[in-house]
Amino acid sequence: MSNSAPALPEMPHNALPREIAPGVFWLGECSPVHYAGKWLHTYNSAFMVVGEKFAAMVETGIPSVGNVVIAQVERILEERGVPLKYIFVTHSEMSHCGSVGRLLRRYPEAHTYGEISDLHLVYPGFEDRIHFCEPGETSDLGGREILTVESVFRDLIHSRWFLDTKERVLFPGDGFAYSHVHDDKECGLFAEEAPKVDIPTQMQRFATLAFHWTGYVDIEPYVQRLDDLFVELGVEVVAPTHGLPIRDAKNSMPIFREGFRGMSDIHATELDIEIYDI
Amino acid sequence: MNTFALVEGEHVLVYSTGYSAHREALLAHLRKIVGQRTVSVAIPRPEWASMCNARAIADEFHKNFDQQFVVHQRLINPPHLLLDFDADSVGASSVLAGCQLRMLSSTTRTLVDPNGERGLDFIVPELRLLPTNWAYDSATKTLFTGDAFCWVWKDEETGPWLVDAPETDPTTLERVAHSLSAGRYWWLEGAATQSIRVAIARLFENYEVRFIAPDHGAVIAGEAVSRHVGYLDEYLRLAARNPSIGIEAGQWKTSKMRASA
Repeated sequence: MSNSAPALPEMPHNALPREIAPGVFWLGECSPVHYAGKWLHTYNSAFMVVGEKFAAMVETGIPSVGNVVIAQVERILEERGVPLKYIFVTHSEMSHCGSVGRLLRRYPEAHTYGEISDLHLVYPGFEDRIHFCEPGETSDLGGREILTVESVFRDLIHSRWFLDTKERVLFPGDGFAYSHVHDDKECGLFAEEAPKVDIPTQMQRFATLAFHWTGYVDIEPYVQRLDDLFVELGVEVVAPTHGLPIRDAKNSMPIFREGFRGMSDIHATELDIEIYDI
Repeated sequence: MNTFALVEGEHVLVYSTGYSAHREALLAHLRKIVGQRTVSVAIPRPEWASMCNARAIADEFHKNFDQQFVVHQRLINPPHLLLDFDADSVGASSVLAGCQLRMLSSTTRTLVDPNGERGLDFIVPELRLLPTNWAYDSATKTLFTGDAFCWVWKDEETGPWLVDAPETDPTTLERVAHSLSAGRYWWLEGAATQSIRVAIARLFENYEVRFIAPDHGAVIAGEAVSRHVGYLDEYLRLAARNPSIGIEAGQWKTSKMRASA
């Protein structure tokens, strides 16, 4: 039948969870994406930050990896012996909030915070446990806090970013989004461990798929604000939802800066023909 | 929040499936329409507003659910896993587990009834935030516009939810501007909008549109179509002259925005 979906590739063994900084865990697993006749992998990651008294999730993954994420959460909570109190989400899209409902049901003391504009309609019955949060607000985990941060790069207007104040890990949601190639065995790695990833090209491809707006704006102010924010916050590690984490934010920033600038060069209409008509 | 049922012969294509909160009302509507007809589902954009009730529809009408499941390319994950996110889920849908994905295409017409001739033309709109398709139904001259043209809201639940003549239409250019710039289309302020204006003008030249059917708000009908296309074009023209709000919007407090909405 015409327009049938291509058969999914066999995926490698899941390399997650991985502790990307002390007490900060990367959860989820790679998802295949078909792009211009090739298979790429993309992450719709979740993260967990474990404090002395409480644990927090940042993002919850796409629904199709919900069972994986929930099993990883259960295991880490059991090992660390702290309860899940906070579920932070950068914005209310399904690839960021896919397990919010199941986590709220499973952990009745937990509340969700972030850009949650339509989550009450997705998960009816949890309205009193789903809350907006504002830049500058902090949530105490014991020995570390989660700071709500402005979103420099976003799709939804009130998207939020988050910072782990102890290890200076920034969770920028849709910022720093890029895929990796199916055959290159880069799943579960830091960006610095995956030299074959062509980060600027992959960021541009991701923008073509998901950040159409970047083709119409002057991207330079966003790059400048990003640089300033990294200095203001003292960012050490970056944990993007849709890319490999960045272990050395300061020294790796030039290649990502190039990637952001390339996003404004997309000629979306031409590229869409490739993407949409596989 | 709108879901549309396209009925052709002995088949119903449910176009976009709405939010979970509206599930019971939606299923009640569909039970009246479906009867003995077969049912298929189209998810034109991989977002909650389009996805939430796809599983419920498949499970409800499992005896006559068409196994061709029409989806956007970004929904390539197996639908029984991707659509298994309810808080009280007891496992993936066996109905969806047997489905074959049929991808939306802007070059191949998608049939409303797999055994019929009525087709939907899927369009990649120049005005979009996330991966999105619009669709044109030539049988009714309806353009389904997803998250665009969502600016007609009413103070009363009773509507009317179809606007035509100016006296039934509360829309002003200011309302259109606020809806776009304070929502998903914040990035249009200060943006290079000319190519979007051209693409939309060309779209409405190429298709005779009697109804604009967005995911949110009233359906725009008849003489209101050209009026609302005009609002959009005028906003896009003016927005290009404005300064960007892209950096400052990231710092805005939602409480302030909600109060001014």
